Amino acid sequence: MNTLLKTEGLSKHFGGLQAVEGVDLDLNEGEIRAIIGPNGAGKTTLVSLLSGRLRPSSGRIHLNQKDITSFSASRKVQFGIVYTFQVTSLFFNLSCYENVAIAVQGCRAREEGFLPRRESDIRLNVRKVLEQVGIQENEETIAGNLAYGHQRLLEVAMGLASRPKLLILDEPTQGLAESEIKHFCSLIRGLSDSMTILLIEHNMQVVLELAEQITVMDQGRILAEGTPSEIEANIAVQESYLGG
Amino acid sequence: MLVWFEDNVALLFLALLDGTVTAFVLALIALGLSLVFGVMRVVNVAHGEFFMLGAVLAWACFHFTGNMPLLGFLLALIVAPVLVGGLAMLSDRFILHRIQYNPESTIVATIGLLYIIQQLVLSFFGPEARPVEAPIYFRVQFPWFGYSGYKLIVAVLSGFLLLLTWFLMVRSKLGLYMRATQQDAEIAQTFGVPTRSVYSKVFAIGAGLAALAGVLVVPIRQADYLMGLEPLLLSFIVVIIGGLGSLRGTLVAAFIVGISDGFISVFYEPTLAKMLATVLVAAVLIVKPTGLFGEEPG
Amino acid sequence: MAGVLLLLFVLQFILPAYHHSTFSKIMVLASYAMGFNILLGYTGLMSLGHAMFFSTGMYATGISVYHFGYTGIPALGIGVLCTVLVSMLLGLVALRTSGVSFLIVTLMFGQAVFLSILYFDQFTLGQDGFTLTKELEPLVLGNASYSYTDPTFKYNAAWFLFALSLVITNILILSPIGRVLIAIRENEERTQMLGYNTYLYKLFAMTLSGALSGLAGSVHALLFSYVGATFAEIHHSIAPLLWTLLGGVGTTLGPLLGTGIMHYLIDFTSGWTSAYLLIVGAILVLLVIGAPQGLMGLVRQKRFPWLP
Repeated sequence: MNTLLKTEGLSKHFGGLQAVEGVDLDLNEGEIRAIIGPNGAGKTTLVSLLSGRLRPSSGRIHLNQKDITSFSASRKVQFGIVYTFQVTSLFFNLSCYENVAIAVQGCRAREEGFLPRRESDIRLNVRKVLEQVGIQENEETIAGNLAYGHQRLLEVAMGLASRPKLLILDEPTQGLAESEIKHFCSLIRGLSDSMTILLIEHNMQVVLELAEQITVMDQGRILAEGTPSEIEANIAVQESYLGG
Repeated sequence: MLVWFEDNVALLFLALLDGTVTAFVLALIALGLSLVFGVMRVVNVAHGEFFMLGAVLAWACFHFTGNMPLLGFLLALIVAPVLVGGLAMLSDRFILHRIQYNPESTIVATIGLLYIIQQLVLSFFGPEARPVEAPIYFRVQFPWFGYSGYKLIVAVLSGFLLLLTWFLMVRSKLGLYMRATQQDAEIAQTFGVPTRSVYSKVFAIGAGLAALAGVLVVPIRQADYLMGLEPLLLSFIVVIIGGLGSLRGTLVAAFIVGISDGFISVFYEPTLAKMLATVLVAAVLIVKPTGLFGEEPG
Repeated sequence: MAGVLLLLFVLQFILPAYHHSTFSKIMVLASYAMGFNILLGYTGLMSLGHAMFFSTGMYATGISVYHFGYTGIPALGIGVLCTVLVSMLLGLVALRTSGVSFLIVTLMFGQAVFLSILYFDQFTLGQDGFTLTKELEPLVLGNASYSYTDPTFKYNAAWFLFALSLVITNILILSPIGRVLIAIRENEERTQMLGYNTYLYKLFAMTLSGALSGLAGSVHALLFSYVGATFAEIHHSIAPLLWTLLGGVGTTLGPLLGTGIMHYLIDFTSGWTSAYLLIVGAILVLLVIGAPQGLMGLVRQKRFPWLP
């Protein structure tokens, strides 16, 4: 399998606080990787570094052997790293259609140059994505008026519309009902053929169901890595969860 | 080069003195603006008008006490910050609170406040500039010239007020509340900090500092209803260069701006000084968009 | 919208002389406000220095005519060119900041431009300014010659400018770029995380906004002859903010409505008091507390959601 993303010694500190330290991560193309760990372990900070929301204090990030460490967030998106927010960040005053359309438009601009895109083209893509995620009836609804679960799905939809190579999902099932979580899992399973997925999750059931590999973080470092069964058996992991 | 220096020593020293006085007063005014931004996260465009009100009220006090400028001065030192602070509290209660301290709306509202205050003063005080006598008149004799002793007192008093404010921030309960709210308003509230009343008090203190600066400055320059604009712009320059929300930055920047303003005004025109200050800001922003001591986002 | 344009065009035949010239002025200034609205209403950036764009256009055009003897159209071109340059330069510096810092930076640069106008008074004649009536030759289009001071010409030229601004604004909103600008206004970080280089988009918005404001300034100089430093003062930067807020930020016709209402209001109140700015101040405060979307915004909310 090809390595899609590789980090070397990735670190981030805020003043005196070391949030992420010496992380060496290897993501294979097409895998579903889950990152788990207690609160404050540095999971969101790590993916913020990957997606460009934060600048690393030290270390390198390589995407398909290309050094993208210093790229801005928008540039990283152009290279295929797409992040969906832990705290839902939508265009709350705009309709679902608009939300996804903005994502689609940006993507098509990258792929097809600066020829004016026809709205009909965009509409096709928007509807496709909305259907894929399952919220097509809400096309005209204003994003701020959606139920929380649907807002989370809209987040994912916008991520998908950006045609990611690496889709990063930050606690996507938080606050969702059982049935919504089931729907979400089948959605993600369906996507893994066409993209690599990195998932931060607290819900162990979801993790065990979806993940092919698990990375465990604690206090800014990688504690353990392996298949779900390996991790389940790992004593150090149990201790960190019980202890912190 | 050395010859020029010798010839101009007098001017250089004068520039240094003037610049220092300006710096202290500017620090006082800019501190008020910076405190309000740091704690409440809003910009008060009417800040310069609080300064102006201080000056105008000082004139009124002097007028009231007739032939005793020292008494008038002392009276103004008490009356001005109290009245202006009170006005600030009312504005906070009835306007700022109503718009929930939304940054954009606050800017618009304080612009409105600026016009209202300015025009009311115009109606009652009139358009002329009115001079005020210095409470103490003496000259300090330097080898090249005599310098107004009162100006030096202004610098000293400003420095004293700055220290007082620092003391308040670091030692008092209100200061603790202010620093907590500045760090994180939501968390402060859950810990029982009365953010609403802290906001009122901070706004009042900011206004009071500006008013005091007005009282101190008015014997040096006359009181007129338009005098608030220039300190406002200078304070903005100071706050941007120093970094919004950083008190240390504000003080350092006040000195940089004050002293350079002093030098350029003595050797060239004041208009040029203002223009160069703008260019200085542009330079700082190109290199470091958050100002010298500003917080880096993330 | 076509309806409004038609109405305005027709009005010139009905209006008595005083209102005739007032409407001309309102249409030119409304274009200024519309330029401002591109930045505030659609991109979400509040600038307090727009007078610098207006006055750059005004002075560039004015100086071309006054000192160098250019005729109207080339002078207009020069005005626009200079303004585009200034907007871009300012954007390059100011857009490195955002929110409050951006506001303060635009305010300061606006003030710096004002001071420069006073400082370089060999060209600008400083505080007094100058008029163009003597130097400006009549416009020659085809076989006909139009004098700039002719009221009918003024009205139609102003109308043309306003129509142009309306068209430009509309094309922008409905275009893909407009969609991105609105996205930036709504949630800039999210827009970046969707792959857009928001800095470039903001720079574009600023340049367009400045150019339109500068065009208004140039036209103002040609039509109303007087070129003066008051148009570079802070109050002239706050003015479009006031007009746009009153009429409705982020609406197409809001700026026109706001400009018109304020002009007549000020006209009316300066009849009995010289402290009309007090009323302005009070309106600003009340607007922000009670109706932040402005009049058109209210109308759009309550009755006609389809208004642009």
